[in-house]
Amino acid sequence: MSAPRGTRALAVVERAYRGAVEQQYAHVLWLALSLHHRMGGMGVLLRGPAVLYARRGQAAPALDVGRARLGSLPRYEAAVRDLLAAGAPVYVDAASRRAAGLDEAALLDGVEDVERERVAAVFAAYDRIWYL
Amino acid sequence: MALGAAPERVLFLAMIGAPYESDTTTTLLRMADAAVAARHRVSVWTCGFATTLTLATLGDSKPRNLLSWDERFPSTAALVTALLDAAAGRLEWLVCRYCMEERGATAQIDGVAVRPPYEFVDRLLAADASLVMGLK
Repeated sequence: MSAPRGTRALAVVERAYRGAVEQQYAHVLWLALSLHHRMGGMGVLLRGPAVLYARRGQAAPALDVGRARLGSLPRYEAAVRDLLAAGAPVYVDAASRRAAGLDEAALLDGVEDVERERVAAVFAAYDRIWYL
Repeated sequence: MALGAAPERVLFLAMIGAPYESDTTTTLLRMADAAVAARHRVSVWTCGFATTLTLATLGDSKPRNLLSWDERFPSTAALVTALLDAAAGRLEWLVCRYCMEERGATAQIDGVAVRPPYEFVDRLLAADASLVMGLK
């Protein structure tokens, strides 16, 4: 049974960079956006190294494989912007951000920095908590 | 051999473990491509679920992107085929038979060679340089 439209689900993403060549477009933020289009109400909380997905100014390299140029590697910055534009909140765990050496000012506009003591309140705003 | 060019080396690159877990596959393809471009000879050995990178059932493309319906994205099998074609004999892509059979990944693409597991050590030791990536 699919989740009814209006279900609010928070996707918690803690592991990052899980196969650029294998995933290409089909990374976890694409999944979150697809779910948001399907049922509305998605939010994304980035923790651990996944906080780097919300950094402004990420490189977007292509990969040469033989004579082919693979230009479809994951574009996490664009994916975060797409989520925000679609109305899906994107949160960053502040402690993970600091551990990654990332200043709050380096986050994309619209991404919300969340201190650890506020995470429970973020969870409480959702019907489902999904670890993706 | 051109003056100043590096002598040809034999490089053994092994990937153990599952795709979609880290960027090891990306690293492997980058290194193999760069080594072939530098005119070295490269043996890639896949173990564990890395043997699924070259499944024939992957086809040429990933499943269609619901958010970008007309765009095509190459499968890992297609990328390995492209690398083999461009390498013109400087690259061999080897699939561990034991790991392949253990995971039912027996439908491999043309162009890769299924080898018995004991050859892993033989080939590693015979190479000028070797690198094993990933965890079993």
